[in-house]
Amino acid sequence: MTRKNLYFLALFLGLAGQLWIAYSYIKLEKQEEAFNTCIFNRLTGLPCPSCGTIHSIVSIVHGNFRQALADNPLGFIGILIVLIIPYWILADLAFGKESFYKFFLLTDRLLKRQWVLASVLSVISLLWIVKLLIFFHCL
Amino acid sequence: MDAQKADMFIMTHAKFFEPHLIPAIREKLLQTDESKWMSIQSLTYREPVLMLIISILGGHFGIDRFIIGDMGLGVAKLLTCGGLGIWTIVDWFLIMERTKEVNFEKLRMLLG
Repeated sequence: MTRKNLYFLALFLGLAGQLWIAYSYIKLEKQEEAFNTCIFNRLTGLPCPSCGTIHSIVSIVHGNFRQALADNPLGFIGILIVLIIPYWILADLAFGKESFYKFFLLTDRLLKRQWVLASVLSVISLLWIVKLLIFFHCL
Repeated sequence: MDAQKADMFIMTHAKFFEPHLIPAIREKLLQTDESKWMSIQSLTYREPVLMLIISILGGHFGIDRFIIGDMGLGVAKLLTCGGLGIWTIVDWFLIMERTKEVNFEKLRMLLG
């Protein structure tokens, strides 16, 4: 993927994600349920691996880290992605650097190693299994 | 490589590449040594329409990105619930072009 395409995609998605989190935050503050974007959850009624990320991010913002872990531990990664990446890209564009692109290529190359990808996917699967067990009241 | 073989390759594989890259691919094929013909023929390319179907069905989990080899983006998509649903929809429009790009990169690597 070219640098220009990646920056455009990541900047658009990062800013859209921030807007979405702000909207969900306001909704949850009013004790209302935010609009559910998860297609998998809507179709099957089951939680997907990253369901609960928004609740988790809102808990992190409130400083309630234990609740954030209970909602979804991936919220900690989610908040880093959404809060850091758009500003990292903007800084790169302002100073004419390509540090984010180099970081992306490095991560991509790392994830192409089978054991790294298998480890990452195993952790996500494990979290999902725990989530499903909680959903079915097995834990 | 002779022009007949290059044209035959273009005719049978045009759907795997961006239309504006076809003349450049033909030129490159003409300059390539005949010995590489078998390797070029046996390369497997991703079908853009199939990738679009996969993106519609499994794009929420980043499966489309994993299949074409964008591992970093695949994991990011999986972690963010398909980019909160937005990225899933954006990828329905981008994935075919990206698949063609990946196919071209694969061929370019072989041709050198």
